Amino acid sequence: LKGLGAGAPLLFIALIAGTARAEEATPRARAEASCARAEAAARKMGFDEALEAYRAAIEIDPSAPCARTARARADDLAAHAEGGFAPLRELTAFRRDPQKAADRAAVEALERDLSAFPPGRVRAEARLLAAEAWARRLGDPGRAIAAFEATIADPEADGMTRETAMSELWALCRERGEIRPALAAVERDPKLSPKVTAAVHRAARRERARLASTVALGALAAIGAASIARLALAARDVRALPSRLLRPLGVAFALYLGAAGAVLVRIHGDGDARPFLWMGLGVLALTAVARALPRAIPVRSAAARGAWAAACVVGVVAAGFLAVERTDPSYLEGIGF
Amino acid sequence: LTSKRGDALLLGAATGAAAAVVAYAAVRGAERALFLEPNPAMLIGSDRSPFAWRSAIALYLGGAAVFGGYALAVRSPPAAARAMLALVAAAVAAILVQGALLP
Repeated sequence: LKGLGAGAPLLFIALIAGTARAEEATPRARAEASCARAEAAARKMGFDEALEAYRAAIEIDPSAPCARTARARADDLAAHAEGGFAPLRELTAFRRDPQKAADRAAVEALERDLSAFPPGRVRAEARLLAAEAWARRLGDPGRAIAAFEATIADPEADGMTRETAMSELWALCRERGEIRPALAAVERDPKLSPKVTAAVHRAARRERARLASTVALGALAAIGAASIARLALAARDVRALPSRLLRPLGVAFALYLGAAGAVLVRIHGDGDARPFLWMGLGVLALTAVARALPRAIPVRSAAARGAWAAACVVGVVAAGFLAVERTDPSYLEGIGF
Repeated sequence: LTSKRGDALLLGAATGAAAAVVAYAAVRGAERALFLEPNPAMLIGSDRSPFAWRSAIALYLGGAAVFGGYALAVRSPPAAARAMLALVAAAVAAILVQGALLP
């Protein structure tokens, strides 16, 4: 018993040492240590060392908890390895310092350097970063658009980077009310981002319809103004002119369109009543124009009268479109604009 | 109201009623053809009835047609009566087609 009492501490130490050695030798523990080494190396921008350590971890124990992350990070690093990781180091340094994106000289330096980067993902990501800085932080949309376009056109860029560049380009164009660069980009590659492609095409249709509506209403306004001027010159009493051009039924109709529509929208609860009010005013003006021309230049031909009626109908459609488009374009989304 | 005005108003109202039916069929048809409807099994609740909303839109459009019917009836009652007949036939056809094909 005495001998056993003296040997117990030795046995205890031997047991602990044995367990520790066993733990050190466990493939899982070695894999975890390798993952930790990789993380530390990546933090210090030692990407080649990090890649090696991630790969080692996967090889040591592919079923280790960190192996899945290690695989993803190793793949990502391998995909960004061009130029021996030097471009990635520069990009990472830029990303880690939030002040750089707001520094014109730093963004210009990044753009200068990236033109010398070898083709690959890093070059495209760096260009996207510069484009975002020009657009959001430095307020230079012209340079931002050029950089977004270059990113979209880069064949070495990955799909997600190009798609992001397309979305950002579209957002910038929409903010500036200038859809041409986005339209050109989606026409070059309509499948890159189907959602953006649909939105850009919708905006292009809306722009064409706005132009056509403005031209139609402008022409009707000019004809109306000329007709009213002629009627005013020929009239004995100009004060009688409004009653010749606006009949009670026409005024009532315009009022109904505007007021009843606005009431309907209010009942609905979350809509915008302004399109209906503008529509009512537009129809009222068109009613006066519609009556002015035949009174200024009497025409007997049924074809001419029909053509004038058709032109006025086009004017009402144009007024309706502009009333909605200028106030709450979200109403137009459901009908393809 | 003179008898002529009263007749014109009646014709206008009838035109509006028939036009509202056509408008309802058109609105419902467009809704079914162009917009995806939520799955009723997934819908927890709605604060407004789609049917009541469609009816309100149809009444608004029908109300606009009252003015056209009245203007035509004042100018030419026989033409308004003929147009009325055609519009009622169109309304019956539209609501039947919509009910059968796009309920």
